Amino acid sequence: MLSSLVSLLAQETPSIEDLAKQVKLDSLVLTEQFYFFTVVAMWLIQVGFMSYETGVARRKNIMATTMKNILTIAVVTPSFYYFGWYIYGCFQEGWPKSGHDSPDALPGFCGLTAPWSSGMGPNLQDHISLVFFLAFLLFSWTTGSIMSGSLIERVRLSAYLFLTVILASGVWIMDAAWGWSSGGWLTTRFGFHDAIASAVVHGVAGMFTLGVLLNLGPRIGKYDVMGRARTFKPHNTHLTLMGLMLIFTGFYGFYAACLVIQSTAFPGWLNIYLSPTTLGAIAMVITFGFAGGFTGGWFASKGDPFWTLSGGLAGVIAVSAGADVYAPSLAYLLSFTGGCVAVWAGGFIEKKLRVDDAVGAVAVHGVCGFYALFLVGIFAGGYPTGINNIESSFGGQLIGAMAFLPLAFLPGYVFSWILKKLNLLRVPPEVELEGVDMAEFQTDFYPEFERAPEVIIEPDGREVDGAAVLLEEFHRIKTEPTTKVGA
Amino acid sequence: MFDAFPYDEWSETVTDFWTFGGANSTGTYILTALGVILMVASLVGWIWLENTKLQRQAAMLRASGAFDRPASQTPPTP
Repeated sequence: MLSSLVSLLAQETPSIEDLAKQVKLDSLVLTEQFYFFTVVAMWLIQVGFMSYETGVARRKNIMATTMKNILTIAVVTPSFYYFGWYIYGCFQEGWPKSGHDSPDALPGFCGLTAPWSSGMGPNLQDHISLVFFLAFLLFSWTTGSIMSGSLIERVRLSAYLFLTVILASGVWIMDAAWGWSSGGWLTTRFGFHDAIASAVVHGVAGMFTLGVLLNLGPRIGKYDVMGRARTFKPHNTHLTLMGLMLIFTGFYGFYAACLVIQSTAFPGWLNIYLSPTTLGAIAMVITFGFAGGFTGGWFASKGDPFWTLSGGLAGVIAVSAGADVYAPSLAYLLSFTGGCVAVWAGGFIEKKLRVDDAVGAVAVHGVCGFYALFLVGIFAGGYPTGINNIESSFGGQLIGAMAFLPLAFLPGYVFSWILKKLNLLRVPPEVELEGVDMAEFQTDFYPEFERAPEVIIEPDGREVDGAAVLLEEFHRIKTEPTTKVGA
Repeated sequence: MFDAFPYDEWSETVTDFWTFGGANSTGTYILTALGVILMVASLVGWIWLENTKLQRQAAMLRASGAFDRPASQTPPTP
């Protein structure tokens, strides 16, 4: 607005053409500012994941956990710039039609996504490309952070970073090209509708994580000889809950960044498929999503604080796919079920499948992300989606899920399997028992506090001395090692 | 004051103002290649450095006998 004012003051009688030019420039700058501030808000998601996961970790693993979240930024930023963004721009129809041909929805977009293109550097005539890229980059960081919490306390930092590059700069952005773009084949042909990325970000990151967890194996002592799950006490539950609240705050930036501004034409806001919506509509859904999710998480977990807050996250994820069209009451009802589904799925994964997911990410993000797709098919079926106005439907959502599940799970499983075979996936068991921080950083990060004996909760609820249990399990796994001992 | 700088001329003639060349130039290609090399090298470096640290610590712990089974718990040998 300031530039408009200055320009008007500098001219005595601006012409209609001058005003039109000024309005266009102001619109571009407004859009640029909008995406910039969504990026700022989305940093809180990273801060939140870092706090959340560090709080869950035991004292001996806090810095190893923290560094994963910080270094996510170090590896995903360049890899997404060099490869990921090009995938989004050029693979929307599955494979580039010929060379740099663009999808019909956004002519020329593909060519602007190469790292040496005019869209990817300082450019006076392009106010949009870089901030749009940055918003997607922050989504990419989020996919990595979704995975990181599940693997804590036994994964190698370097293995996590390698897998994060695959997930954040390859897998998720490929599914985004297919089903979260105006030219994606899932949308233009089948009306696939996942407006705020329930499955595209959360579901895919969760299922990739499941593939990794199957190769990584549980933490030493997580399961007893009968296969029953023990519970490790988080070193700081308050930090964990504060981290979740920070994630929630950042989610408003995430939601806003999923929209496209068209400030000079009605209705002003479009979803990622270029169908109309409003910022207020999605903000209402996310807020009611938290309310319903907290409620569902509370009742399903019988008041467990961790699962109550995770239920809020699950509730929002469950309604994100249809956030552009759901009525607030519908969002409230559906997110309540999302909170319940997360708690039940989390218990099933931990106790029945015996997969040690330290933060419940597979349940909250993976299961609820795909659950959200089917909710759209049921409750928003018939809503016209995308530039071709294909009606969203249960069948279209099912096709999307069938495309995304293998796209997510197989790379996670295959690449972690390769790392496992190279003995580069998991820390040695001695290091795991002592704590990863000592091996990685040679120090205790709470030096002024006396170290209390570790307490583990047995499946029957008894609290026992952790050292004895872990030592016993350590000797047991040496006969059936999950990683080579002494390699 | 605001008319002193040739904004119009810039917007028409300068579309990018990158150091080491503009878009689709040799300089930018070289910078891109160097960036990719740094990215790959850092990933390899992380793997190598961490592996060194972990193996050293594991060897130290094994040598110290920190996690050996206590003598009273050692199964009797036949």
